[in-house]
Amino acid sequence: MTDAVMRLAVRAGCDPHFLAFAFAEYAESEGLDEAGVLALLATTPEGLASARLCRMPRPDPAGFREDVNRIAAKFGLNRDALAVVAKRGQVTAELRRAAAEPSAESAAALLAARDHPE
Amino acid sequence: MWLPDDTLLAAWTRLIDDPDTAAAFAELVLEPLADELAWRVPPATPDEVATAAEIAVLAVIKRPERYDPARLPLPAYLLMIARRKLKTAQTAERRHHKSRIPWDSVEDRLPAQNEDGEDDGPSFDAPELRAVIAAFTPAERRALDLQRGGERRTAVFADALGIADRPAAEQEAEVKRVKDRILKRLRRAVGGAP
Repeated sequence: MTDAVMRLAVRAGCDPHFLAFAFAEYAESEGLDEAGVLALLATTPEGLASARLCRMPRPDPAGFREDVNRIAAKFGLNRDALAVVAKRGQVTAELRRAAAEPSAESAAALLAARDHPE
Repeated sequence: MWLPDDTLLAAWTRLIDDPDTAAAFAELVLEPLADELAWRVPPATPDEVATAAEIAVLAVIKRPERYDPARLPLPAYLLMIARRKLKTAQTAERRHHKSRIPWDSVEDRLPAQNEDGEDDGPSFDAPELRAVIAAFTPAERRALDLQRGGERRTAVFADALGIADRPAAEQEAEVKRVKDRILKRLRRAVGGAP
């Protein structure tokens, strides 16, 4: 894998669409550098870059499990660690979206909805 | 150099069918795109070119279905997006430098309180803003100080955030995240849309 694609994968960390966002958020909150993330996920730089460019796993439990299992197997990542990191990334992205709502009421409503799924 | 159109088209089709192939797709298109962009837009710096090419490739990875192969070849489509991003970035940068007041001259005019009450926006002395800023980490405070001083260079922010040793793209992504976070928290504090 070229350095250019590695850089591209890191840039994807700005966008919650990509799994890279979850890795970046987790690394920041836990104070991990690149080596720390690699160790956590027990993968190679190439595996991490490929995973970064994947879509964030689907939010529903079955979809989430399936996506995490598939990505972990395909790119050689520790599945359990990936699940933890991806889940935190999803929650962070959702909270950011809620916070970006124009009114506090709508944010509160969204957060309340998350606590009381149908 | 670009690979043949049918090879690129096959990679794009795979990307639609299997989004996990994004890295493989990027391997095929990112460098040829940056090379062609640099050749077609000569005044751009290598960083500007790389950034525009990366944004264009990420856009296609994110929404591959927006590309219509019947209308134009994939390289032309990527180039169109990248050129637009590059021009927008260059225009914004020019506008910024044109309207920017040198910080030294501001300090000369307002030696004691050059950061307060210079516009109609909320003062940084407002209690709600002071409370938010007090909760900032030291790195966030340094970044805020730089923003208030009109600084825009990623390298300067990266230095202030203690991430200057990281790769350039990582620095850029992290700096953007910190700036966005600061802005959202300040806007929320004064009741504005984040």
